[in-house]
Amino acid sequence: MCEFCTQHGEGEKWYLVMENYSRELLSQEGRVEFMEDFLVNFEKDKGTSLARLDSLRSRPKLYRFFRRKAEARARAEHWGQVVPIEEIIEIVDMLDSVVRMPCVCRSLTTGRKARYCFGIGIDPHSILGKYPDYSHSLEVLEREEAKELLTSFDKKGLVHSVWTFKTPYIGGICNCDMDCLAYRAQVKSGILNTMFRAEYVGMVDWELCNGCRRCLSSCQFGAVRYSHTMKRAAIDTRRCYGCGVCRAVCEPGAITLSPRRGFAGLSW
Amino acid sequence: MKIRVDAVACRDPLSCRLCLDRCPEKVFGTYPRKKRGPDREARDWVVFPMLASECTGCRECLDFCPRGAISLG
Ligand code: SF4
Ligand code: SF4
Ligand code: SF4
Repeated sequence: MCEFCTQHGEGEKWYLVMENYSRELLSQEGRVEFMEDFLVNFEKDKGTSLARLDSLRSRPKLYRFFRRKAEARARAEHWGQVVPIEEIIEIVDMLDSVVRMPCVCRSLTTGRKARYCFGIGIDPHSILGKYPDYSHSLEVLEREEAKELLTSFDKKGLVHSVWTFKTPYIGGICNCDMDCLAYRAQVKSGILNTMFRAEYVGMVDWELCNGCRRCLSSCQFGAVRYSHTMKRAAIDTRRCYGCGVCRAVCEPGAITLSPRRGFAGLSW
Repeated sequence: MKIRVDAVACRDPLSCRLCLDRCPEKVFGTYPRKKRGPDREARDWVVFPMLASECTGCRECLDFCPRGAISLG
């Protein structure tokens, strides 16, 4: 279990605990205002603070100090975890509706407005309604609509994750590719961690794998290897984030997810 | 690598975006210069080197930026 499961899930998976999505929690600790400021100023605030940390990379002591500080703040304010599609559906089943909104990461990294993100508990008319460039692309989705869309994102190979707004309140579900800021910071450059891997890791059943190699290109984490000798794919469990999106392209259904906690040598 | 983007030469990055799309190391990012406010749309975006330490010095950006706004030092 990741440490959030212990702290915010009473030993269960913290992102399947209903309280972490509750309106009561949202109304506390100035969360609504925090979300508003976070979303509307994301590009400048997060982009420039990552650039500042990056500029310290050549000075290891300073870099380590500020990285630790930034990670502690992220844990308290905005931290994520990768979650496979089945559990994302379970989460949406606990909610009444979600709000589809433009992805702030892709806005920062690509300059484009792409609506791959879902807000939870956000009333689009109150907190974001003031920002015309933002609010016109908000859309309230009913549960079934949201589930269909999320399933279609999974088929396209987008990695799902949940995100806190002042931990433990979970206010967002993201569907990411390599333009995600967490991907750029944690996976691509490795300069700052802002999310946990999933509670799972992928495994390939060699009895079923036909060596087609589709999974290799579907994995955003470079975790799938191909053995030319065996003509089979194999997942590097240390690299695997457990997102499960490789399963969608595997025709013989050779890939399954196993609980991460069953692997003594793996962390989150 | 010290990367500079000349904000005067690079006008309207959101309709160009070549650096954001084409840098192989995904060094750049973009943000609206002013904080967003309730009464106006976010205008005036600037491109900046977000992860300069990832730059390999391939110098491709010097060629693909149509306004010659990027310099490496
Ligand atoms: S190998 Fe792991 S990280 Fe890669 S797509 Fe499959 S589950 Fe995700
Ligand atoms: S997609 Fe499935 S069958 Fe194809 S190589 Fe990967 S594990 Fe094997
Ligand atoms: S020199 Fe190459 S890697 Fe560096 S910023 Fe320019 S395009 Fe990107």
